[in-house]
Amino acid sequence: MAIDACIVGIGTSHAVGLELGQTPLALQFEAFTASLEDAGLDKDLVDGIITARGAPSGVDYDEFVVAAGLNVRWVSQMWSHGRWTASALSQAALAVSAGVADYVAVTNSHVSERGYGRHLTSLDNRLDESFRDGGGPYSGWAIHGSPGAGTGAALVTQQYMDRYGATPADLAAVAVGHRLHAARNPFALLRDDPLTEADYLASPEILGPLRSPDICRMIDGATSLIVTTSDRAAELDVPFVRIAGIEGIRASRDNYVFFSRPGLGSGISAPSDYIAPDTSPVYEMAGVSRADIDALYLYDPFAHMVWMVMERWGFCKEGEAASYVRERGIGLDSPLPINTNGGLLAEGHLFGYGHLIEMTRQLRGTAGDRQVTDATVLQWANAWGDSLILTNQRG
Amino acid sequence: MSTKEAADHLALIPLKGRGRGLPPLVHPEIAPFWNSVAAGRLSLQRCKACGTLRFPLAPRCHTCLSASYDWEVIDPRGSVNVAVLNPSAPEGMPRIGLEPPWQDVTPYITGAVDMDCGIRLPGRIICDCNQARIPGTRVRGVILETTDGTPVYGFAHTCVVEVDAPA
Repeated sequence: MAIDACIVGIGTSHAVGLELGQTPLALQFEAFTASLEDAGLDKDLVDGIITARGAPSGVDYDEFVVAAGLNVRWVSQMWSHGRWTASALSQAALAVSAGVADYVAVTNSHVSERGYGRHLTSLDNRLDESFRDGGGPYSGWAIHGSPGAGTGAALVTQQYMDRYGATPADLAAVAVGHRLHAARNPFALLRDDPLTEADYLASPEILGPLRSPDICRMIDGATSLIVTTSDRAAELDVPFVRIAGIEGIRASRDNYVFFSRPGLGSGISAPSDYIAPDTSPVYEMAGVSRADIDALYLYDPFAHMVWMVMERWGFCKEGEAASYVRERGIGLDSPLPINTNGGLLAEGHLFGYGHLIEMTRQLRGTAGDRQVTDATVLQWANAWGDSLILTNQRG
Repeated sequence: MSTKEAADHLALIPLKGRGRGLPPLVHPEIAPFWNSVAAGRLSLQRCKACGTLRFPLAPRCHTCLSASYDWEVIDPRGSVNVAVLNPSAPEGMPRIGLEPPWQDVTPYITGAVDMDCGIRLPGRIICDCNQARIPGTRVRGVILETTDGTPVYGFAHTCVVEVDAPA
């Protein structure tokens, strides 16, 4: 079955932050209605929905269907994590391509413990993945003082620095680059919070080698994207943006740690040399090559993820991404602009859906000051192997 | 080597006053692991069908899927794979930073150790000279305290315990 899927509507909550004062449901309504307006679509045509439970509280699909008066015939629900972003959009693409739904809303909302979540019941942390009997997938383990994501990311960053000699100044370039993008994004959480390399190096290490600018903060916010087939998209007055390629998450005993590419020996896996494949299924499906990618988008809750993704997908050889980013940056003038919205690090933690909305804007040519010149083929790619290619070119 | 010395070199050395971390959630399937730690030994599961020694703890063998296994005491020594220092409790980072009681334990080192038996284990690493932050540094299994008194294993550098000699 060939993929036939377009993104025809995008929307977000009116802002992101900790003081929005709105429930997850209220935020999800903002994003959902914005995406309908963007598409010029009546809500009664939406017959599929993919959502996720947020952290600590989000909106279950049925809660939203009831609240929004929808009548859907296809549902998928995940839990909020950037791991699932490409999988969610892929499922929407597969669903409309197979005809099990005509218009699928990929809609998500989440609030932080420090945002509206302080009014809501917190999850019992004993349910957190880092309490698995064998430790969590971040390569951390709560009972050993590496609870949750932060220390897991710190361990992988340390492994990379130990092995390849990457420096704090190398890592600084990632956070500095994301802040420069955010300064051009009116929606970004840190748009008015510039960061220099000197600022970065003056801030203390707080989790292993990670400093505050390397770590994104959880915030309140919501996103929505509407996916349909190309024939239905042609009936709407929206620029053409197509989901041209999809590729799934890889997982094995040697290839599963969230914050690591294969080969670093993270978690339980054995270290090995890593050579990226010349091509990958996502490129084959889209009929493009790595050299065609105009900008790269990736899940960046922690700064080192830029290194992991660039190397996993072969934009750099192993161990070379750190110096590459320091020397060439991730900006619009770089050979490979990355996360032009400012990413999770500076736009805010929208689980990667903020990136997908940015990619759509770039392909529509509506990204304003941060427009990538002649953007035609954009890639979402993650360290654990999932990927999407979006394009404004017809197949 | 006498029987006593052979047994001693397998011992986890109890350490006091190194901070009380989070206790493990002990439930019946994995109780033998934690009972072994409490008895001063590190034990892992070895498949009775194909002989694979495994970690993480699991009800079946990842190689042959057999549900049959023995608990086997392993050598508590190994080499640091990776170690990070958590120097202080970061502010305002629920879910990402350190949850209770770890804020009160800082500064501490945590990481993973490549055990001499070929298995990598995560754990806190006790070291007063920072040498153990360097990959390859030899460390030995120890017993650390937790908030509810359940012992948890960790590791210590030779600046704290004698690593390669009998306890």
